[in-house]
Amino acid sequence: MELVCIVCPKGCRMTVENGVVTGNTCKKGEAFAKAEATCPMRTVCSTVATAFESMPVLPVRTDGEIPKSKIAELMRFINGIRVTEKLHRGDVVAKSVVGTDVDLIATATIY
Amino acid sequence: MKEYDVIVIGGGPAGLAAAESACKAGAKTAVIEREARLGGILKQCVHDGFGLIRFGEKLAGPEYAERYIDFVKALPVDCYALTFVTRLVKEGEGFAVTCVSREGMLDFKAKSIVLATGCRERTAKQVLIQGTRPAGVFTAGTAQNFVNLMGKMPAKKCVILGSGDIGLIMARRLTLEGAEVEGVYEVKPEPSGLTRNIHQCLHDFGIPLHLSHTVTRVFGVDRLTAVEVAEVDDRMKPVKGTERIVECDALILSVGLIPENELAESMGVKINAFTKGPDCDQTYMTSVDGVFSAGNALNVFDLVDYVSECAADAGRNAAHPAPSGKCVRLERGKGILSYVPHRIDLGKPQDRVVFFFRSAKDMDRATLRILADGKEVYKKKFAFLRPPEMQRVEMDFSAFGLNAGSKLSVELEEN
Repeated sequence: MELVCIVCPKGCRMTVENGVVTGNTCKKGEAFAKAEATCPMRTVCSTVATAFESMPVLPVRTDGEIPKSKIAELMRFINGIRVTEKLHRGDVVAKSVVGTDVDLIATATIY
Repeated sequence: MKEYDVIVIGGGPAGLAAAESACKAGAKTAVIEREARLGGILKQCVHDGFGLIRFGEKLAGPEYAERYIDFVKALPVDCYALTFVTRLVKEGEGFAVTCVSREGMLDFKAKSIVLATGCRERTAKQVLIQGTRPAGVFTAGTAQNFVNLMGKMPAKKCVILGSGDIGLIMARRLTLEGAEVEGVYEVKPEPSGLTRNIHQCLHDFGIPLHLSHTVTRVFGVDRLTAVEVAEVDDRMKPVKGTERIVECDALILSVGLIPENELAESMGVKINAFTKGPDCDQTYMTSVDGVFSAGNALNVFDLVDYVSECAADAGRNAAHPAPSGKCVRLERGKGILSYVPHRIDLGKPQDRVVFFFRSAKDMDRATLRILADGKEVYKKKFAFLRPPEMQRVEMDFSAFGLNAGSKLSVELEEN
């Protein structure tokens, strides 16, 4: 399997054959390639609705990676959230989302 | 009238980094920002991938911006929001800055200026699309503002023209929010965005990328109803008989960014033909003594980490500005698309010059060379150079034996 690394903007071109990774220039790239060949994982970034007129949506991201196959389920969950507290950057918006141990965190501060 | 050592125009990532370093270098510093909030375009870049170099972490845009806002707020830097610079002129030893704000006109004086005014998107008018002028034609940045700041969807089904990074990011973003992205059309035979964005934004979601294709017409009276797409030949002219109508309610343009330099131009700052930003020396000083340029106003970067680095250097230098001395121009040789700096000032430190460049075309293996008076004084090998992916190299120009009469050039050779 041939793939392009998305871990950093360098975008190394890698090959995975029988679990052996070539073309990577770092350990993170090797781990990414192995995951891509078995269970691809992604960080998901989006926004959630808020109750505040000054900032109708709050940017959020998963504080870690979730299986790519769960992105649609996560988006359905995210679209049901409405934040009513003045959250700060890094605050947890929802714990352990879509059956993973990954939290959804705020990436901005509501002003 | 308030007086400062350094006035930074623009409160995005470049302006914030410049203000932080200028202040830390001992300068009385102010930032002037036209929007209500600091942070610039990063506020709406909710995707991650920012800060890998600067912080060793993969942050979302607003997180990266807020970290720099916190750095600046912890320092005695005056920040003027909702303040727009209308006039910038040389006055005596320094500069007079005239602004409009909610309080009315504001006048400032500064010993030096950092222009951190960012860049602007090319619009539909600049890509000459034929047809009516219905609503529903947006730049990718406008669509991003709608979705990520206002929480409004600008499209149910859309076509994206141009494969720049913001277009690719928006293809994913709109898909995640439930819109249908029919396809991304790129007039060139290769994509304009980062390779990783082609993969994580298009391939991950099965969005087709049509290379050597463009939008030739738009349809609709009040609202866009369809676009016509066609294949283009190697001279980028549409090929007759390949036209296809795609029904959609939005056309999103990601067709390039242009540094914003009206203020620079009003002062007679020389603009480089290839970066479309000010011509600068290794301290990021423009052709006007005391005026510095940083970030996307200088040169459209693809990584904010490099914007911060360049702007921090510009801010530090602006705190202790040295007049322009004898300069050696760095001429653009074969294989190079654009680069900064454009000249080396022999009267300023040259031992740690950060050189940013883009290749003119895709190259699998290439050697970057600096030639001084026809002699090779520096070389470095690269694998996989692509025009959308800017490279950064640190060089010691003091080792190149330059003098006022030297001929200096940079080139890339494919091998």
